[in-house]
Amino acid sequence: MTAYCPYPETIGGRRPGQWVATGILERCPMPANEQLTDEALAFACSCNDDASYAALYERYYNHIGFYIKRNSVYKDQSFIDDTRGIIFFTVLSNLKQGRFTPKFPGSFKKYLFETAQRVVFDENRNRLKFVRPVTELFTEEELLDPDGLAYREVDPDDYEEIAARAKEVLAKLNSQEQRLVQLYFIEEMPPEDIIALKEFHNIKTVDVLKNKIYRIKQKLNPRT
Amino acid sequence: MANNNSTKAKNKPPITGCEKYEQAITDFAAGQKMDITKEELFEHLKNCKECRKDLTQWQDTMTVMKTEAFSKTPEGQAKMKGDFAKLKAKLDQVPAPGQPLQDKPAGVGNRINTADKYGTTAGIIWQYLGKHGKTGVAKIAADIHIDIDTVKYSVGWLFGQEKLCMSHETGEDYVWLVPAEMQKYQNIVLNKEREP
Repeated sequence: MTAYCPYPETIGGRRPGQWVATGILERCPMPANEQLTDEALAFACSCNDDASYAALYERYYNHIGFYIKRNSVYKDQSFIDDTRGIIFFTVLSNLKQGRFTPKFPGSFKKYLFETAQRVVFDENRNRLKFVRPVTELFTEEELLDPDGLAYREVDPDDYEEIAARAKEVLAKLNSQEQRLVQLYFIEEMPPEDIIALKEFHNIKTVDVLKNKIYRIKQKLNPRT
Repeated sequence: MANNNSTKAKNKPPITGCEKYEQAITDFAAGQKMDITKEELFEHLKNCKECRKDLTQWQDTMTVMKTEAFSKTPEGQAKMKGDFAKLKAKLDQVPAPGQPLQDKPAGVGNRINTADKYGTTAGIIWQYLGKHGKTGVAKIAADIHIDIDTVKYSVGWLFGQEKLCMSHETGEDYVWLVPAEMQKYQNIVLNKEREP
């Protein structure tokens, strides 16, 4: 059997690719988890390494949450948490049972998001069937999405691309603008409340604040 | 003067319907109060693909920004750790390959590949049949706590190696060791008993 070897170097004096091939039944000393590729961590999970489960979970926790929110009819936090739990349980238990063998770099990510797509679709279908009456299946926002929510194509890199773009734009804003982004966009504070904070000496009215926010939006606009 | 104004007006890009909704789209995506009604915005979105795309992009950006910000807070970290603890408790219930019995200690050193999985199961079945004699396949699976498909594969392998006899009675498959294998099993048991 020729399996893709997730490690470029030997670890603990052994090549893990050989472990896969020969099925040597022992735990191996691992380098720090942050340095490991997904495939190396997946391999360590199949050795039942607790730290590797945690590392993969942390690495993709936000990505999967975003994926669910983006591709699901239901966007409430409890649905996102439940579905994320099911996705990770499916993937990690399969790793534990040795049902996933990395075949090429990036194959774990592909596997994770394909599982996510399937689970999100199933969970939506289950909830549609049992929770919501048929007459109110979709809200207006959901109906507007012509791509059919869970039917969208899987793109595992979306989250990273959007996060990188947002980070890049935020870095170009001055400290006051960054603080406004925090208050207005992230904490969803109404303009009147931001003024009431009296945090900005040059922003004393709602109109001035709206003007500032308009300029920030121009800079943040994904189209530009 | 009037002439100048008309030139300026001519140079200004024409205001399309979409520009009117730009502000509302970003306000809606940011969860803020809009200057127009929600119905008005959605009426426009129904007919405007570009604005729908714009809204999706804004919503994605907002979601990612909020997620990133939340995950760095102590509450975000605590939530993630709590979620993982719940998952880990469930994951610990999943037997690793080569750990068929529930009472076997979990953990280190039990990773085996697919071929070994059936091989190991075959070994367990062989010992089980040596001890219990003729038994139904479903009962074996239930007694040794291994899923029925794995048991069937392993039985198939043992049968192919001419270690088993098989019969189909009352809708169920029964298997037992061939006499030579039974003899081997009894020898092993006898040797074990003789050991001090």
